[in-house]
Amino acid sequence: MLPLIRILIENIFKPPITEDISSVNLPKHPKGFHGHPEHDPTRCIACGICQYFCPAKVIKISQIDDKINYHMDLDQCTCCGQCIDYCPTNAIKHRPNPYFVTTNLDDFKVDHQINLIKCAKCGAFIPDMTLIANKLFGEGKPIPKHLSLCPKCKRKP
Amino acid sequence: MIFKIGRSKSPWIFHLNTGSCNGCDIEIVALFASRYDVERLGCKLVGSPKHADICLVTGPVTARSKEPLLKIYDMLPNPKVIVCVGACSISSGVFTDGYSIVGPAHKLIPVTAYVGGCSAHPKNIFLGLKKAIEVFKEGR
Repeated sequence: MLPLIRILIENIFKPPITEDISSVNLPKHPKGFHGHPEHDPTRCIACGICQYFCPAKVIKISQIDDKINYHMDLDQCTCCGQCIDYCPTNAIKHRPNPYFVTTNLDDFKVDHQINLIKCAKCGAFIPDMTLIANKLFGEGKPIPKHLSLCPKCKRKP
Repeated sequence: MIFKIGRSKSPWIFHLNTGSCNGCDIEIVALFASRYDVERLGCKLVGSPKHADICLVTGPVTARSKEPLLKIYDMLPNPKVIVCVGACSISSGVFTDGYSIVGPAHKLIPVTAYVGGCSAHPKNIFLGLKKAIEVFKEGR
């Protein structure tokens, strides 16, 4: 009985546990919160690993001439974070907040263009591998020749 | 005029599960609990669609739950405000092209607001409800 009275008296002086979300400034999410993925087209090398690992088939990558079209249907996304874990260049990150409310379905669609470079030998379009080379050999080091060739030219002696 | 003020000050909510995995349903219950208390907006969960102003739809619409969804939509009083909660109700989510899936809710009935996430965060549903209340304030 006595502990109960102590808790009751303590509760009178405690602040309410209800979060104030009626104001304009919404409270921040905890660190490491799994929000929707956010794609950075400048870091992306269009390797397709995110497309392979996505369980909900959100990501679709297709090539149109000299550019790659990176499409995401965020309305299907389950926020599992597989694409973020496996991305070799950290091009995908979690959205910094959980708030995603719209009245228009088109807001969930993401379309990005990734620029391609030309193969040094034959001129076919290949993705830029400088970010991968920097990761493998360190920043500022010369990029090896085979990374600037298309798969066909690599096999030729 | 009185109805308009009443609806925007105290919208009553009906919660409809159309084949959801129960994740979004739990978040809706958490929204009505003390931490994200939504009753300060005057919202209240009601058992009958005839008493409700806002309908919260969760889950991809399965073949079994298509008929109840359309029935309940007819029962709702005007203006009919539907809020889709979670990835499944927006686009069938991971259940897309399943043999028992008739399609996301917006193929069958008009939807006012979409709340993303799997499962949707209570704060996120709170913002969705606020969007729905704006509809009452503006009037249709």
